[in-house]
Amino acid sequence: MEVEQSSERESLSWLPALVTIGIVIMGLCWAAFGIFKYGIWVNNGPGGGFFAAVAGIGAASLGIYEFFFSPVSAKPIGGRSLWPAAAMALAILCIPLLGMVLSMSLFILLWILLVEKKSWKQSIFTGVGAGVALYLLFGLWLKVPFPQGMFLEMLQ
Amino acid sequence: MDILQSLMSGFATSLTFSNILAALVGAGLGIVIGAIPGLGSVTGVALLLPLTFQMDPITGIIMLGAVYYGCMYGGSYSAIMLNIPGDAPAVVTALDGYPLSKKGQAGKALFTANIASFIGGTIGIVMLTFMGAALAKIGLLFGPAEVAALVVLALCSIGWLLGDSPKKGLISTFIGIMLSMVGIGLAFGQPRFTFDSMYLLNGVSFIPLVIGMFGFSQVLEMMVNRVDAAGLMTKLSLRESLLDRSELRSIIPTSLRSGVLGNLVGILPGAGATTGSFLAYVLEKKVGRHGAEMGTGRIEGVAASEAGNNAAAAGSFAPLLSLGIPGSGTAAVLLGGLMMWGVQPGPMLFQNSPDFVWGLISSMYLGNVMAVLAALAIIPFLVKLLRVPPAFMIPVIAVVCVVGSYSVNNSMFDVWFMLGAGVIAFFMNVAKYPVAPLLLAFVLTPRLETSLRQALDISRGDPSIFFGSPIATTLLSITLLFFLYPLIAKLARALVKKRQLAK
Repeated sequence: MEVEQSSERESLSWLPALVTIGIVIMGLCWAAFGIFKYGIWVNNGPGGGFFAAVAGIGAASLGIYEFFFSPVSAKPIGGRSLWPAAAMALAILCIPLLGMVLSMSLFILLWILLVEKKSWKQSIFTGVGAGVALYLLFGLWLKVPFPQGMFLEMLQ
Repeated sequence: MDILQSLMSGFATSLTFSNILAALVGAGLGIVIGAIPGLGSVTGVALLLPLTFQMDPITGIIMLGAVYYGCMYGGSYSAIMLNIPGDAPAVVTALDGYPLSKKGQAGKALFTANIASFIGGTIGIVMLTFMGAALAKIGLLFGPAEVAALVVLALCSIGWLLGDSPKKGLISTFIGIMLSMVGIGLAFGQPRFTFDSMYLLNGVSFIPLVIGMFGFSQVLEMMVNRVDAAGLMTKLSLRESLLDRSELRSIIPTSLRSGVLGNLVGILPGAGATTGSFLAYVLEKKVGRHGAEMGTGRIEGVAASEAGNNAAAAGSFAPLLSLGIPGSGTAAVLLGGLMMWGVQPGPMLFQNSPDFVWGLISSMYLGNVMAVLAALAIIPFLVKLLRVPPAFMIPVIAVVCVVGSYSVNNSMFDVWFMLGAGVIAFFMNVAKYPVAPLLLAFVLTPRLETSLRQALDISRGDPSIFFGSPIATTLLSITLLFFLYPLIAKLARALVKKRQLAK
């Protein structure tokens, strides 16, 4: 059984506060737009801003309470946790150039090789296999118009 | 007796070799399509509709019915195994399905989902067979005020899913409501919170949001907490995945009551399978023996959600056939198919095309049986998939998330949105904000907004419309009762204690 225990767990105690601040800002924005731009009560009924205002005020007030009065609690996380998001963002940026299937295959191949430190053989097998499966299932069968990428278009 | 005779003649029409084969192929394809995140039953039926035009209409509708059922079964698989709901109703299945997978009981969760789906689907079809026209009339009794009251009940029930920190759960609910406000409001036709982006005019796309918040955030979680994958990595045999007698005894009553409730919700125009599965889950949490443990990985949670959602899917056929009103998105696609075959659903359908309509109803029985057989046959392969080590699972799930969110609207904006939603959900998870209430509020609020506005437009702003209708009054009273129940129970306990002390 190949289960790896993460050795780099740490508590980012500032993260819950940051999330709560974000929620308060979002709540205040929604409440302000709801009240002043879309209207709370229009033509004998709830206006376009009614639910936005109610939810915005609710989120902002509960968020402020959480920020000042609730004990800070966060799940332990490590610095590596955002690696997949960063690597995937890079892969998505490559899509206009390499196309969807090739970018995703390369993402899998390089991830398994460089991050997971597996062999070349395993990385290539998984990356190419996933690419072929994606092409057959989505491209050929379901006819999803994947971006082909500049590279493939130039070859054509 | 007439109904039974008509049903038998329907079976005589539908039980041919080619039709059984069409049902089996349709069920298999439906399960595969339903299991792929981003492709739900609407996509499945829409994709295969053109293929069926070459077929005999009865064979075509049998295949589409089987695809529909297959999709409903398949939607739960990725929710249980990867925490990525294949479609909106499967969000509720993930609440208990994925914790079961983490405990090494994915096989049991999959079996439960299949059996409950079968029971729920069968209840739905039986009710459609014997009470289709009556059910459709009940659906018509639900005007905007009644639908608004029902959605208020559903929205308030989210409170029971809030988990350890009710305040954080409530904040999540408010975020869901705020996100649902983005886009052109149905009641006013006015763009809101779009920040001048044309991509947001249609609102926040639900599937990329779900894939990001459940699936991609899970990838980030797996990156650090690989120990959590231990349950997923446990070797499972088919025998260990089977339910024992006590487990079967536990899920059958759950599936029966969830099936009846889901079917009744499914007949309401616009209520949909998500509301059906959610209300069934809430009912089980309230009345079930293990209600308090639901959300931590109980098979009853999976059974309630799946039975409710499949019964609601069958329920949506009642208004479609009897009144020509589709009760769900998939039913609307099927309505298009029926019209292309020259069949006009509505009050005269049962008189004008009895062969077709009873063939269709009998095909639903056939589709349901084929779907459960195909689904049970697939379980051993799915269980093997769970043994893939996290080193390979992480990049592959990440890619499934990207491709699934792209294929909804063929839009790169949805891919970036999914990525952002995943990172934000991960941060929320770290800060211990639950994500499920957000998604349920997101689904339910637009229905509440539209119905509330319509109800008050009808009454010219007079709120007594909610108290003049017996259905709306009853639903609002139930909501109030649920709110007051903890207080009443506390008072009753205090009174009993006082009496005992006095004795």
